[in-house]
Amino acid sequence: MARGYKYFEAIEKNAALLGVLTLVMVSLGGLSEITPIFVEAHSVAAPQGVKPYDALRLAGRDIYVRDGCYLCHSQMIRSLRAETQRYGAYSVASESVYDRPFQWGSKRTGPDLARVGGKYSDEWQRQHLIDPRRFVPESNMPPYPWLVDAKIDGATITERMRALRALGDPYTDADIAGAAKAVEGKTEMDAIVAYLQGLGVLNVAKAAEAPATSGAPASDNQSGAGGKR
Amino acid sequence: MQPTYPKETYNDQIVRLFLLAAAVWGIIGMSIGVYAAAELAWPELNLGVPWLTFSRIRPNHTFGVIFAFGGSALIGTCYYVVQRTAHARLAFTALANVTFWGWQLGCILAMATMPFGITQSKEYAEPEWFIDIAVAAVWVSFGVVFFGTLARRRIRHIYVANWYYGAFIIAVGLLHIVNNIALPVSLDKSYMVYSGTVDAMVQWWYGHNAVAFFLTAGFLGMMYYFVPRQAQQPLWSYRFSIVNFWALISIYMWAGPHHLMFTALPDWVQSVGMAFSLVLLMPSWGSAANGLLTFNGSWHRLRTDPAAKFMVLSLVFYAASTFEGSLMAVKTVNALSHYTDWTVAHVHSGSLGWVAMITIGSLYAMAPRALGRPAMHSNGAMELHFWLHTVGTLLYVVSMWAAGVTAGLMWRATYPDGSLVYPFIDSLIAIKPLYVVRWFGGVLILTGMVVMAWNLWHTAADARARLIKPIPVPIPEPEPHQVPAPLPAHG
Amino acid sequence: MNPLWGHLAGVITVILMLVFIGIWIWAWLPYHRPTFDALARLPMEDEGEQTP
Repeated sequence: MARGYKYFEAIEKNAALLGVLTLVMVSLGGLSEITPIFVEAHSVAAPQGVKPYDALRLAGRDIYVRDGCYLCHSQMIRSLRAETQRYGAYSVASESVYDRPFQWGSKRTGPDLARVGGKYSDEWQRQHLIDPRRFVPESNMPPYPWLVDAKIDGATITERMRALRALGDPYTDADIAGAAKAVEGKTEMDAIVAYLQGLGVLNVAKAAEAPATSGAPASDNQSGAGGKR
Repeated sequence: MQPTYPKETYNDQIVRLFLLAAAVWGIIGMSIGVYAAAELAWPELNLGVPWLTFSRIRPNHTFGVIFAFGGSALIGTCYYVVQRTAHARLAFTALANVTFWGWQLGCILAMATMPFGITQSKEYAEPEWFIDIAVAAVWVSFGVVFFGTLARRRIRHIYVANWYYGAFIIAVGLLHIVNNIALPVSLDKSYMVYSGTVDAMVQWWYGHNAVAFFLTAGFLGMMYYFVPRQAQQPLWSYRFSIVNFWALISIYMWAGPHHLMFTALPDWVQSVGMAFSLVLLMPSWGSAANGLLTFNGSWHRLRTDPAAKFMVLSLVFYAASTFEGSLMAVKTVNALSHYTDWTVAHVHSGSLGWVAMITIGSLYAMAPRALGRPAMHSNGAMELHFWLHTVGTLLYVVSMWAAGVTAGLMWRATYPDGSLVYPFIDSLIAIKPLYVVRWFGGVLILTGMVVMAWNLWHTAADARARLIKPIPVPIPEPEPHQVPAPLPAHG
Repeated sequence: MNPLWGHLAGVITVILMLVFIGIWIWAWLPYHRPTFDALARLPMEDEGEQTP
């Protein structure tokens, strides 16, 4: 009996073998969970109605990422009744397909923003970002005054669009060529407000809209082209 | 006649450097935490200054306390433990120094760039691409030094603490590299290779396992050496720790999806994540029990030895936070806890309770030996630190539990006709006083860290005066009839 | 989803269960008693005073 297990013994005595076996056991989880989603996300055609970010909204999104807004705001309406009632239809995978990195967030010190687009006027968003307590006296959101006079650099945005296209986002040559002009003279405030106003409006695949409003959330929210129920 | 072998001594110089770095980073990381907590309670403290704003400095808090403080303590104790349990000097002394200065450089680079907006905004992986590459290089050299030392060990069997340290090194390397694959656009900006749901899955496979391997497996390695040492008796069950090891490292990797429950992540992955998070309770409580029961027969030490008190309470917090974690991974519980301060309470019960306390206990146990002194400079200061830290942690966790459950319930409360009762701002108003209690808990803990720094400073008096003589490695094996025969002396 | 994945998952799960039970049995073999006891005493050594 003991003799039969001398191979096991080797693990205990051989550092390299211990390392290799640890690596094997440690990669089982990741492989089983990430690979199927990775394959599925790349096999499915781009959802119709969801286009990659235009120049101004891309600049706005990069500001959202730069300033760490995700640390207090989520962009993910969960498939729970109280959430769909408060924030609107629950978020589906196709809405964040061009988000690099994804900004679903993990803490709601502030409300969810997944469908904040169009809920408030541009001017409200602008003044709120400058001084949140002017509209919500009890809010503990920090002020972001530096967005007002910082300008957007057209060349940077063009460069970033080219990098995103290299990663797979379907930007056309026209998009990239027109990027610099689209953000000319725009401030960071214009960009972030444009980004926020498009959330839940411009990144929703047309087909996905219909089933989402049909009340009780379906259990299976299929990622990829317009959710098939 | 006693055969003369070439004299070999432990490399404790590198350990002392990491010890010092851990004490310093602990204070810096926690000071940022206290300031950020103050900003949540009193938003005027943001002052409209970009690099002071909460959303810019919070990554400095997490990076400061996890990778700078925790990392320095882990690498320092890892080098200390692997040498003593292998009866060999640390391999590649020069490379070991590279790991120290490289790690400190990586930490400083990250802390200096994130508040200025140079961030990937992936939680616990915020530093930009060039820092990721530098940190990866330092991490690989750390692995080379560790496994190099194991390769030249004089004790044939590898002590279980080194299994955990080994898994910690291998897994964190895998996680860090896979999660940070990005296409740089400029020095300060890069775009991830993954997007949307795939990025969410990879991020929280990394996010949860940064906690699992950095903050649990690594510190379990520390625990499996320092707890028996402090209890002055062997582990309660050595063979049980072997089973827990393989179970923990295999299961932890699956648990990532419990951060994404009810989201756009496919349901089958959410269910797999939940199932494995529940199974995870077994190996977690296995190690907690093994550590706590090691004190059977020497509980009296707790009256006189603050380091033992820290270690015991850390194991209690480890058991408590892992139980809470498995509980929160149940979808119905997660529906309430996700996005609320309950998550923050769980994080800090694990970090302040388990990680900080086992680190402080181990530092107090290791510092005298590494600094060539019989004991810490002041026992009273350790007692004071213990009570400051414990009360602070309890204030923090309990206030955030209350805030988390309150907000969670208010978000879902409806009138009989089904309409929502509270606008979002009402939940913030309700929990604001608790943000003040949390801030005060943080102040107590920070005070404790300052007391520790003062204590370590005086204990290191000799080290500063370069009076320490290196400790010889016991050669040959103390037990002549070692089964199986020991390796010949090296070099 | 081609059914092969399901079979593969099933086989791996069975293998993992057997490995898990195998580790239990291996760790509890009386053959290891002396080695584990010697190892468990390692952290208690107070190096420096070791007189080989």
